[in-house]
Amino acid sequence: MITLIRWELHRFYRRLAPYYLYGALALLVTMVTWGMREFGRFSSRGGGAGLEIVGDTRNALMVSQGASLTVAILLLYLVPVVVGEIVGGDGATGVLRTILVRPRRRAQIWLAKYATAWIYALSVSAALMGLSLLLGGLFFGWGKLYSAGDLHNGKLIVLTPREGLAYVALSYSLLTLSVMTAGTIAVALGSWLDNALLPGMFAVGILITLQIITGLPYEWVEPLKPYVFTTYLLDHTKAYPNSFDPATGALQFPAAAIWPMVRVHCVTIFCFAAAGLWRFLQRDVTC
Amino acid sequence: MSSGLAIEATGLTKRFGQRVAVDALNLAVPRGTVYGFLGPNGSGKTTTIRMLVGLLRPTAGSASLLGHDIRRDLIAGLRETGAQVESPAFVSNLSGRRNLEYLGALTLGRVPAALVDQALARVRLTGRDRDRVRTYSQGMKARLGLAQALLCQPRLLILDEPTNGLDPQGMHEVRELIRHLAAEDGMTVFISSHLLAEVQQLCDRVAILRRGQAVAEGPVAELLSSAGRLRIAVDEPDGVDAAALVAEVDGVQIVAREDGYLRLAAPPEQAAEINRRLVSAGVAVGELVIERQSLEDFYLDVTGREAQL
Ligand SMILES: Nc1ncnc2c1ncn2[C@@H]1O[C@H](COP(=O)(O)OP(=O)(O)OP(=O)(O)O)[C@@H](O)[C@H]1O
Ligand SMILES: [Mg+2]
Repeated sequence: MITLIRWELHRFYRRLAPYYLYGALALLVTMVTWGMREFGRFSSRGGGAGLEIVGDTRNALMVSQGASLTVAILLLYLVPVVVGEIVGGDGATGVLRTILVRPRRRAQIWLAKYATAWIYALSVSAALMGLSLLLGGLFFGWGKLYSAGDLHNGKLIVLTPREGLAYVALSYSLLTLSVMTAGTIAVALGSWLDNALLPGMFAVGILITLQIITGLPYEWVEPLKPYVFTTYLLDHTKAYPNSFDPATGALQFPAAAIWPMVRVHCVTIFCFAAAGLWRFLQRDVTC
Repeated sequence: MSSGLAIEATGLTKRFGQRVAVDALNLAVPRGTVYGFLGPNGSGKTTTIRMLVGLLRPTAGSASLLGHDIRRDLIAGLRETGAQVESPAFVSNLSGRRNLEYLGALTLGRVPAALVDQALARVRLTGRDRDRVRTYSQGMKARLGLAQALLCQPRLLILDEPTNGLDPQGMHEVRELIRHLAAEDGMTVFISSHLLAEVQQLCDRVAILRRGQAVAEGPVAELLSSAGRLRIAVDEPDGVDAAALVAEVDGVQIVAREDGYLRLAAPPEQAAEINRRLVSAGVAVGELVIERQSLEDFYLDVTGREAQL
């Protein structure tokens, strides 16, 4: 199995598309860092509670957090397009018939491909996080993570660099989960569509359609929302503590914001992965 | 399953919607033979091969590779089988060598470089093995297709039109290679082809498919001798129809009537009977020649002269 994954990765990284995305990330992170440099001297007057914060909030963690907010959409839309080719592309070129006459279970081959998609999504998230920490660190140095979550109670949340890093990492993990929900849809569609681009494009189409539907201001949409993964698409931004325990005064882990997201994404991933695998096992290879 | 057979199929059927591509096909390919699989375009050769190697699910029927049932034990059968289905398709941005390493890894986990070298040398790709497949010519891809099928030293080789796109040297080499593999290594080779002269030279047995059904099967020599061709020079007296006379003989078919000549498809052992009837009706038989039939003639007889898809 390890051999298969290694070969899938080798094939995957011989393509150009994965690198375009890394390149785009580098560009965007540079811009985010630049933006912080210009405007990040956080001096906010007004705000809900009329609080005024004056001070320098520019540091590696803040850049990384900022990057995960602004660049997330790019990953959500582009990773599916890139990973959609892993299965669909083999159907398009006929390579599928060459590899499926080898003495391997189709399940193994599919799982190796799916693992490759995960590894890529993880690598992209890790690259985004690593690069933003690096650039932020180089320009501004380390520092505390500030969260305005409890501002309406008149409290600014300040995390130590250590705590802050843990939460940033958590946030990036959740972003990866979101990205791979879309990525899983793309990989799964590859079992139906023998095409390099269509699975990814359909996955993005599904994503946008569901986003629009769950964003509709109608009452009948409300009961659906909790079950649709697009409701939680950008919930990695909620991975930071935003309140204090009223009894102890300690920071509260944002479990209530995270669990619904994790649950719905995991169920969605499981369903699409199972469907894609099932179809891959059943299908007639006519390409 | 009988272990004496490299490929066995019983009642193998594939339907695509309403279209029956392969219709209750029976096949028995003895081990160690070079077996030709013939038929017009769309007669179901590729579909049969795809079923045998597990790319398509049969609608009905069963088959086995080297004694391993393809429904229950496909992987075991594929372990000892090398196959090239339709035109070769490779990972185009990897080199020929890398492709072989990749495909070999799927079979063996890791292929020894010596096996890769050997396969490349056998199809004479050694000098170009580090180029991307994207840059290969059609014939080079055909060679690489053969190389990947041979790579892991299979006992059964299944080739779907392997000489498609090869130059005359290439065809010759492939023919020699297949002969060598069968004779020296005892490999069974199952080969679909439209090149009947080649098949006639190469194959011990053939099956001819028409609309998904086998219309002839057997050793090439037997098939050709069983339905020979006769050319008879006749001089008919008025009122006697030589063609009608010979048509009554068992197994005789009139192929053509030309000026003073009859061409027949007939078992050669009927030649004497045909001659007797003609002579006793007063027809002067100037010449009676048993023509050695080519596989092409035989093929066209059993599949029909006009191609209908
Ligand atoms: N995926 C498919 N969907 C529908 N019909 C198909 C499919 N694949 C093959 N067929 C039909 O099955 C029949 C047999 O096709 P097949 O490819 O097996 O022919 P073949 O003998 O290999 O022909 P050729 O000599 O042209 O390669 C044809 O009528 C073809 O149209
Ligand atoms: Mg064919």
